Amino acid sequence: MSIVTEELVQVVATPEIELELETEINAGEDPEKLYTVEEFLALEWDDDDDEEYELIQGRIVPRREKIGPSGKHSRISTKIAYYLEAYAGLGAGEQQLGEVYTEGPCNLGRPKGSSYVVPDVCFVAAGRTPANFSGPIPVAPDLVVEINSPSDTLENIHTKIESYLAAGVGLIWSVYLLDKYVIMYRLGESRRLFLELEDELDGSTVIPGFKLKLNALFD
Amino acid sequence: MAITEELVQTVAPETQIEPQISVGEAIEKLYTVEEFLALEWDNDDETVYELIGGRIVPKEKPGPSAVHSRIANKIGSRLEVFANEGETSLGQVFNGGACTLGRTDKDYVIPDVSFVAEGRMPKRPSGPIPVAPDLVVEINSPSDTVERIHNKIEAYRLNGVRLVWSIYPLGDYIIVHRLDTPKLLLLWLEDELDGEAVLPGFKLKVSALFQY
Repeated sequence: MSIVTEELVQVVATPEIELELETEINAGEDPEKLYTVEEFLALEWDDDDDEEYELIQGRIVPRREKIGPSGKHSRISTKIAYYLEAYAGLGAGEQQLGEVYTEGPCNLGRPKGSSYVVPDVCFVAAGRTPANFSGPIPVAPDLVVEINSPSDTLENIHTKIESYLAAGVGLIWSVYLLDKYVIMYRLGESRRLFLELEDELDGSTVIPGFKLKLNALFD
Repeated sequence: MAITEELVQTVAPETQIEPQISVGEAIEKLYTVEEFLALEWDNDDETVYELIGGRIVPKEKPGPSAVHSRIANKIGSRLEVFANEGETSLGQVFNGGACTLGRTDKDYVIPDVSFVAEGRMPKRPSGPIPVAPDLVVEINSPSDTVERIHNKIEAYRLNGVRLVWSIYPLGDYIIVHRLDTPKLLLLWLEDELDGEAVLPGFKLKVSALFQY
């Protein structure tokens, strides 16, 4: 989907801006304009555009570049979600620690709202979401898993992680598919953990005891 | 940005100037260094291109940032002092020196900083550095994609570059790649870069690099 606003269409017709079409959505509008989640959700999208967008610190950014996630991407996010669900979600029965979401939209912004993101997988500890909420997940997740695609830019990866940390996400697993490593961010700790094939993902204080070998993930 | 069909029709001719090569050829064509260097470039296009694994890739769109340039300069100057302060030179340091990587015919890259050990460079070379450097430093830009960085490092590995420092100023970390092991090393602010077997004894605090 995409935005087609009246201004956009008009501006595109004037020659000097045509090249800017390339850049995201804001093209016709003030590229520096920052959106709130509310404004973002109220935009009219073009039905023919099957791209997904996120709002990251007020900026509209395409979620995956054009082609959508690869098979491998989808496989890895499924595996992580499955193991999380088995350990901390339904698999934990009465001791369920929280809820696992795949591709769950999150409204990270507080109080006014400037980030609306769709992490590949996330986990929200039990009791943090209101019963029967509707719409996006209304709180910052406790754990976010992002699987970085080959076409992701460093800037997109970085800004997203910054906005998760700013929103209070306790644990982030940033998975680099192509190079087979994971960078693990823990809120309040400046030292990041770097995990390679022989290492294990670790639930840290968010999901105590959860471990998952990267070997199993990248197999 | 999403473009409706009408938009595409009105705008298509101009937007097609955008992608890479000003030379209307198929993007998937693989070039040799010779073909690459023989191409006619559009003088109005200020982008610098590299050839990575036979593919033409723009090096950086808007040119390197101040931070980028500062880091390159810090590393380059310390390497230069370390390599050439003694009585015998350990080798040559290049800032932004174009390089054909020697062994294959598919790469023409411009590492931010590179080091070639003494005796490996021909006397009075003309043109690009004709051998694979012993050490390459890449300072990754915010607009770089994961894939671009990966492909470049792969090209270095395939051509025998012994040590690569891949610097991520956005995240304040450095990933060290060595030729003899698939195991990577991630350095944070409190760690030190180490010249290892390439420049034994060379050390540089990561925090010093990211202070600007």
